[in-house]
Order: sequence, then C-alpha cells, then structure tokens
Amino acid sequence: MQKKRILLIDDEPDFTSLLKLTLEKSGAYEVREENRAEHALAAATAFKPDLILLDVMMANVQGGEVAAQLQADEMLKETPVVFLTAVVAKEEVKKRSGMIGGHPFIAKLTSPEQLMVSIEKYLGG
Amino acid sequence: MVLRYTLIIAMAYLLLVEHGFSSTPRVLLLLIVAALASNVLISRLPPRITNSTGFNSCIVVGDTVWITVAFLYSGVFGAEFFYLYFFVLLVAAIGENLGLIVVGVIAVCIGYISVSYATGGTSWLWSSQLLIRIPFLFTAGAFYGHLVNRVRREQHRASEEAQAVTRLEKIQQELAEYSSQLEQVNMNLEREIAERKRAEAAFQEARDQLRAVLDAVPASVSWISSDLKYLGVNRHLAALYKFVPEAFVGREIGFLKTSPEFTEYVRQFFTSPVTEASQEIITEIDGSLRSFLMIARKYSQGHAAVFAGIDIDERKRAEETLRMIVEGTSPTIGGDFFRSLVRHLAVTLQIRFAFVSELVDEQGKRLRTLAFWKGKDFGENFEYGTKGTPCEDVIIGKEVSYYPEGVQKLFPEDPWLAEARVESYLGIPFFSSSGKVIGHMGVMHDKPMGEEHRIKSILTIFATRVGVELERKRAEEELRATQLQLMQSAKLESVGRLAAGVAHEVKNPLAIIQQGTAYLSQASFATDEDTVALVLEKMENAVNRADGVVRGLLDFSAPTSVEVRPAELNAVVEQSLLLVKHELVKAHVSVDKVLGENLPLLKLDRHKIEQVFVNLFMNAIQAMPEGGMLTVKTATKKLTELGSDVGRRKTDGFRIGETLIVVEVEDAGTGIPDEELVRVFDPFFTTKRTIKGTGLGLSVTQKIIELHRGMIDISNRQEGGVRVALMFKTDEGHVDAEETNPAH
Repeated sequence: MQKKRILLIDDEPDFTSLLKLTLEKSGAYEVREENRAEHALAAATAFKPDLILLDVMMANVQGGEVAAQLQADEMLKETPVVFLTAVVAKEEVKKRSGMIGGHPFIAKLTSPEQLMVSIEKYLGG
Repeated sequence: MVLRYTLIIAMAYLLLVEHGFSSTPRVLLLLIVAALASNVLISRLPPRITNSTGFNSCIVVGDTVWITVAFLYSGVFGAEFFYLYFFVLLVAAIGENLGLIVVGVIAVCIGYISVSYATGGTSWLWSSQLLIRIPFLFTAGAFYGHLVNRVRREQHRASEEAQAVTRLEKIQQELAEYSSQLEQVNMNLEREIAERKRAEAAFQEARDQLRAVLDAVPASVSWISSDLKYLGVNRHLAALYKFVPEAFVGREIGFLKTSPEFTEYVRQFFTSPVTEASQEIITEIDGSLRSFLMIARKYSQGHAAVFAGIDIDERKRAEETLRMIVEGTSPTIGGDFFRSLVRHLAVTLQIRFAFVSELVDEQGKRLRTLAFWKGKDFGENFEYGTKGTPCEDVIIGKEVSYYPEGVQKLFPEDPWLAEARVESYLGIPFFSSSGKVIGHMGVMHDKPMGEEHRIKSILTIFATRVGVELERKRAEEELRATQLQLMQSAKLESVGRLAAGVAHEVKNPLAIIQQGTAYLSQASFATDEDTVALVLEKMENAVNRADGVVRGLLDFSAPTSVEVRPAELNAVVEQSLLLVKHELVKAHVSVDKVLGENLPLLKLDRHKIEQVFVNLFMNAIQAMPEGGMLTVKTATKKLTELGSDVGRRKTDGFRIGETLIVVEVEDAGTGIPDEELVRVFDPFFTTKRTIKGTGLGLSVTQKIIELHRGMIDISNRQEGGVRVALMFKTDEGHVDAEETNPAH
C-alpha cells in the first residue's frame, strides 16, 4: 500500500513531532511537518501531500491565510485541507458539521485513532 | 442896695462932720436926701434892672458924680482926698473880688494914715477927720467894690447865661437831629425785626423739618463739636441707648462707654484734614456687639461734624455666614459638596441639624439623605417616607416650610423628630433645570429657631447650587452606568479573546500530552528507547507550559491592587538585574546602566515591579539570541508637551508641567514590526515559541504599571531594537475628599 502523504502545518514543534511519530507508526502515512507557516506553500509544493493538516491559530500567519494561499495555487488547490484547532472542542465540531470557511476542521485534542479516522475520511480522492 | 445906704450914710456923716452938723450947706443935704431917695427908688426897681450892667454903671457914675460934686461944693476936702477917693474907686474897679478890694482899701487907708502922720498933718491918730474919712473911704471902696463885683458877677452870669442859652439851643438842635436819626434807626430796626421774625420762622420751619428727617432716618445720627462734645443726637440713636436726645447735649463723647471705637474715630476725624470719611466700627448695644457703618462729615468750617451710623450688623453676619459656607464648599464636588455644605450650614448658623436629601421616587413619597449633619459629626444617610413629616410639605408644596418651634406637636406621626428632640425646622426644596422638585435641604434645631429671614436667604442661595449639583451627580451616575456597560461588553470581548487565547495556550500542550500518551500506550518493548525518552520529554515540557500558562493567568487576574511603599527605583532595578543575571550571562548580553541620581522615592509594590523589570529584561534578552547590549536608564523628566496620555486637565493621566520618573529598557535586537506593535500588550500575544513565552508577560506588566498609575510605552529604536519606557508620577497629588478641617 502506498503511504499517503500528510503535510502538517502547525507552529508547535512538539505537537507536530509527536503526531508524526504516531501517524507514521501506523505505517499508513508519510508525514512531513512544517512549523513555519510562511514556508507552508513551499513545503506543500515540494512535498505534494495528499492531505494538509493546518493549524488555525499560529503566531505570525493565520491558518486561514495559508489556506487561501494554497487555494490560490494551481497545483495545490485540489489538495484537501483540514483545519486543526485547539480552540474548538470535539463537540463543537459535530455541531458545526465540521466546516470552517469551506474547509473541514478537527479539534486538536483528539486521540490519534480518531484523528486517523478523520484523515481517512477527508483523504477521499 | 443896702450897702449903698451905708455909703450914703457914710458920705452924709463925713459931710456933716466936716461942716459941723449945723452948718452943713443945704445943697449938700439935698444931695444926701436925693441920694437916699434914689436908693429907696432903686430898691423898688425890679431885680432885672438893678442887676443889669448898664444900671450898675449908671449908679457908679452917678454916685461918683454927686459925691464928687458934693466934695467939690463942700470945698473942705483937699486934693489928696479926691486922689484917695478915686484911688479907692480904682482899686474897687479893678479888684478881682471883694476880699481883695477890702484889703486894697485897707492898704490905702493905712497908707493915707501913715502919710498923714508922716507929713505931720495931724499929730493925733484918732483925729476926727481921719476917723470920719477912713470909714467913708472904706465904705466907698467896699460899696463900689461890691458893686463892681456884682456887676462883674452879673456880666459873668449873663454871659454864662447867654452861653448856656446857646449851648442849650445847640443841644436842642442836636437833640432834634438825634431825634430824627433815632426815628430813622427805629424804622430800620422795626423793618429788621420784621425780617428777622420772618427769617426765624423760616428757620424754625427748616429746623423742624430737619428734626423730623433726622428722627425718621433709620440711622444713628449725632452731631458733635470739635471739642468732642455732643451737640445733639437724633431720636433713633437716643432710643438705641434708651435715653432721650436731650440727655446727650453737652456731654462729652464716650460717656456711655459703649464704643471706644467710635470715640477714637471721632477724635481722629477731627484731627485729620479730611472733611468726609467712612468706616466700619463695632459698638455695644444692649450687651451685644453690633457692626455699624459710620459716615462722617464736617461742617461749620470744621468746628463740628455729623456722624451717621448705619446698622450693617445683619448684613455683615449674613455676609460672614455666606462667605464661610462658600469657602467651605467651593472646592468640593459630588458627595463631598453635600457633606461640606451641611456641616458648614450647621456650624455657621449655629443650628444642630442640617441635611440635604433627594427624592427616591417621582411622586415624592420617599426621600434619601445625601448628607446629614447631626451636631458634632455626620450621620449615616438613610431613606424615609415623607408622609407625616415636615419634609412632605416642602416636597409636595414646593415651597419653604418654617416651624420656629413645636414642630413635634405639628407632626406627631414623625418618630424621628421626637427621637432627635427636634424643636424647630426650616426646609426648602430644590429643583432640576426642568423645574421639578428633586429633593430638599434644611436645618433643624433642638431649640426654637429665630432669624427666619437670614436662614431662608442663605438656604435659598444654596438651593440653586444644590439642585445643579444633584443633577450633575445624577447625570454623572448615568454616565458611569453607561460607561460600565460599555466596559462590560468590552471586557466580555477581551475576556472572550482571553478565553480563546487561554484555550489555545493550554490545549496545545494538552494535545501534545495526549499524543504522547497515545503513543506511549501503544509502545512496546520494541519501541526505540530514545524515542520514548523524547516523547516523555516533550510531554513534560508540555505539562510545564500548561502550568506556566495557568500561573501566568493567575498572575494576570491577580493584580487588582498593589501594596505600595516608598522605594528607591534604582535599587529595584539593580535587584531585578541580579535576578536575571544568569540569563544575561547565558545569552551573552551585556548591561549598560545609566541610572539617574537623586531620584525621588517612588511608592512601589517592590515585588511586582521586580516582576515587571524581569519581564522586560527577559524580553530584551530573548530579542538578542546572539547576544548584545541591554540598556537600562532611569531619570526624571518634566512633561512639556501634550501626548496621548498627557493632557491639561487635572483628570488627565499626566499633565503638562508634571515631573515624572522614566525607566527605559532597550535592546539591540530586531525590533517589533509596526503591525504587531499595537497588539503587543494583548494577552497571549507573543513572538516567542518557547516555554518562557506565555505571551502574558507584557499584559501583566502593563496591568501592574497601571495599578501604579504609571504608563508603559513600547517603540522601536532608530538604531534597531526595542525601547520600553515606563513612566511614574512623582507626587501623590490626590486630595482626600474627606470633611474639611474644622480648624480651617
């Protein structure tokens, strides 16, 4: 099985490294982490991920902006983007039917299993 | 003419003797008889003729003639006898008076005798010739002497008489003149008298008028002579001292001993050259002192002056009262104003209670006191119903209510009046600018209250101000309520932001921990030990971070107050530098200290300020990861221009002319981009991604500085890096709005 490529854009290095560990341990994914939002576009172009996990609240650049950048990019606009947010609780995700600005979002405080379920869901095509 | 008889007899005797009695010639005898007869005739003549000079001359001449004729006819007598005879006549003629004549005649006779004797004519002294001739001569001399004398006397008398007559005539003339003059004078006098009577009448009228005016004038008028004696006083003055006006006339001023000031004033006025003056003096009337305005004016070339005294005591006292109250209340506003006012009112009017109250409801059924003075101190403000109280009249009736005494009896339903033993009451309402009653103010006393007019006037004056003040207070309260609401919503917003920030800052570490635990729970012995260690480390860091956030949050919420004490700012700076010394060394950051000298002591919460400095120093250190220079400066600075926080009014944060203490912390890092400068104090805003970067530092710092009533400003330096400036006020200019000092 070919590993799906996940691009993690989040300014918390500890979080992204741990998540990468967990995701890659499953064997299903190849994860690249990018902690600097300004390099997100470059990283995406280089890595050509199947899914981008994007933190909403970052220090310098907000997630939304990054999403817009990705959307603007010819090659990347098709790539599914999922927001990761520490602000919103699991319950809320359900309530909002998991969408922010056209993109789905997942709460950060989710167990890795749950996370992987969501990833699979959004990987789609 | 008796003497003439003597002469004639003497002549007769002589002739008879000479001739012998029998042989005397008849002619001679005839002559003698004729002479006698003539003498008889003469004696019959009226004295008027006999006294006249002419008649006497005739007699003399006549006698001389017939005697000479007789002698000649007799032929007996020798020439010398004639000589003698004429000599005697001469002596008689020229003799001044009879005495001298007699003497002269005697002398002649003695002369004749001696000559006769000497010539031997006779040898016998007592010869009959001599005896007869000498008496004759003597008699002739005497008679003629007498005659002459008489004539002379007559003449004298006649001339005197004539003189007297002319004198009399002159006198009569003069008298007539005087008489007519007198008449003239009399006429003039009568005219004058008539005029004078008229003038006097007019004068009297004027005097009466003046008197009436003086007595009517409600001032104490006295007129005093320059020797300091009363010339008079008007009835008003006399009545004041319970005398009649007349009792003053002639007395020396000061005899009543009620006003040494007045006595002195009068004295000075007379010795000074001015003709008009005025002055306030104090005098004792009925045992109490009263103020008078004395107006003085000289008249009668400075020999007298009139003094009019107007009682200004009431007005002065009202002025005094007003001034004291205004002084006591003018600098205050708000609650202090009301308190100040009631206190001053009570104290100055010397009344026990004073209060200001506002309506609680529109209908005026309930009142709440804004300030209440109960004699020695303020009472607690309270609410009460107006029904059955004197306040009800004031509020409902919208006018002054005055109960000089017995107010408890009039309002038996008011328990408070009885409890406080109130005897008298005066209340006055005050109005909003729209004319509605919004409250009332008044005074109450535990004794009957007099001076209604004075108290009412004073209260009225302040009622306006109180009304205005109350309106202002209410408007202010409304404003504050609105402001509070705004602040609430703003706070809610920031709280919302804060909550979001906190959630983020805590959830990230939690997410890490979760991932970590998930990983570890699935770990097996095959798992790489190093990886496990790494995961555990990351988890530990996350825990610490979360802890840090919470602590920071507590710190953020905690400083609602600071405990300040005077401290040396430079010492705090030094202490803070010590606290970060380790970090400074580790980061290779050197410190440039430029600390001002003789900085005044600042009231600081030392611990919190250290926290602030540590925060700033740490930020600076973290801005220079490759090392660099950290500059710390302290200095005093005088504000000379307006700024965002610097204004002109007392209510602004800082004012021009104010002296501040400024602390500047500068680093040589990269600075903060302009768009982030504005957000730099936002909670959880941070450019740091390390444990130390909770993002709470500057917001807490700002809060602490604000609690010290200071200001923090962050800007980029021209030479690169960031400058953080802290500004503190040097003086605690805030006046306690307490009761003003009673000794003031």
